[in-house]
Amino acid sequence: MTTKLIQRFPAAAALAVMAAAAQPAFAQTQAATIDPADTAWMITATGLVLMMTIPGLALFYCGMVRKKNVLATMAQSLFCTMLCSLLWVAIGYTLAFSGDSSVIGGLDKVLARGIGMESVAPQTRIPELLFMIYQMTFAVITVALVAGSVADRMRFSAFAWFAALWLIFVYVPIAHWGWGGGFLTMTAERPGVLDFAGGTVVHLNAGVAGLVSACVLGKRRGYGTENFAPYDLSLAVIGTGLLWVGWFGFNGGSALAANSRAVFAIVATHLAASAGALTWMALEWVTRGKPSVLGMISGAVAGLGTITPASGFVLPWQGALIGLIAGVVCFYACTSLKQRLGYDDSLDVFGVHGVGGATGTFLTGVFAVAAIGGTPGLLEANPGQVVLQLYGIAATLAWSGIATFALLKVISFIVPLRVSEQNEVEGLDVTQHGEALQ
Amino acid sequence: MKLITAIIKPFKLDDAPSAVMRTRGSGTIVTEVKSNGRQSGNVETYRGAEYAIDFLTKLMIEGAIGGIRAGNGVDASAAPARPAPPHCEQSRCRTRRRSR
Repeated sequence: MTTKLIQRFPAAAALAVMAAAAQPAFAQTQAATIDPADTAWMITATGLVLMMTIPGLALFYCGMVRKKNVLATMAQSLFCTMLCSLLWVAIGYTLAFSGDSSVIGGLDKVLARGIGMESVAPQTRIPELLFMIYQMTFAVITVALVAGSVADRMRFSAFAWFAALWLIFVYVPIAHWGWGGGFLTMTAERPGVLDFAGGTVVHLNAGVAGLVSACVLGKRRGYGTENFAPYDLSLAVIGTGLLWVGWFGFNGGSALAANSRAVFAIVATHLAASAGALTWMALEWVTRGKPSVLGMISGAVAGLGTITPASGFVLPWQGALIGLIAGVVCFYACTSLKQRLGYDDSLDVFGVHGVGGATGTFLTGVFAVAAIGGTPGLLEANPGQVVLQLYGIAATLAWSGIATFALLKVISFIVPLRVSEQNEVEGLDVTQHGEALQ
Repeated sequence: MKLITAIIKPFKLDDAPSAVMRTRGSGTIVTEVKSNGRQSGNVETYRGAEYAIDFLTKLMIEGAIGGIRAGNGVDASAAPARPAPPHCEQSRCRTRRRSR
């Protein structure tokens, strides 16, 4: 009987065999052990990074848009958390962090299949499921960052499509290349791009995608002529505080252990944020006569984004120096460069994260200290690392730019990317969500 | 009875003409408004983008005077403000004499 069923339904039989063979091996003994200290720190770091999106980024962004779009801006951060968390477990994690291919991972770990209580993330002493959710928070915030470029004018349904497709087709491949064993990942056998916590994977990626999105969607109605003053900068300051503290988990947690490297990363991160904020504030004070609060928080975030790839490879004083450079470079990117090129990147995602991420990735190749991260940089007589860093920047920039553009064009066939002009004037809160701040 | 409307800078509320503020606590209306009077506006800068803010926040005070409360013995329509006699603060009379 069984033989006849297999002969009549060979495909079904094959599927049944595959399903039976793919049962999770919960009882399998792992060679590595789970360290409680590392695990405790990484659980904390996961919470810190999630806090960076909700409510950190939500507040940071919503405080800088106009009152009629505040809730809609928060909705974008919320939606990224909701949708991308589920998609990450379903398909994102496995495509980013499994398999041996240099381009994309496999489907071994769809829906966290095969990850049991005893599973340990490779080359770490933390549970693999913890590594998965930690990486999930990175994916979530990267998608949420892009929303800042198209604030005030993107249709929510279009953004929903964008969040799903961009995560899978842009973020996941680049994460695989840089961290998941792809062609940019450094292994024991070959050198690779040094990107401790996401200068390319997160910040440059989001920044380029933001710039492309801003150009494809076009400028906001009234840009350059109407009053676009921020609704409530105090919300943005609170958001910056949550981002700053959360970044201790973003960079410190990228050590994937509770060890000295995590501490070096945290210290470099904090000094970079401080230096970046001071530098931007000083530049504004000199060029415009007054140190603005928006300048302070922008400089802090610029410093944080720029130190991200370098944080686990540099000394504390180098972290401060990188923050200072970030303050200068990102200040001019958000003011002079933006005005000269004329694009409407609403919340300066490219100017802060894109330019900052690229700058930080390059500087990682300059300052990397072998005693901290295992790989020397230019200052330790390894100029080849700078070349590798530029290679990583180029690959990320190319894929993020091209794929984002293609995705937006595809989505535009499903639903218009922008709201109507009338809805844009009336505000996204009431037209997209039926709600309004009173 | 006369309705007095005054537009003042917000921090001047406590210094507002006593003729209007004498009715404070019973009928004075204070509204936050924006106006562009003789005072020039501000220029606000956000990441290099400058916005000229012409309408500044002011307070509009409205009060009805001239309807004198029995017992307080004050001619409220007199322009120079005089401090109210002490017993006015304790007046509980609600009748008003209307003048037309």
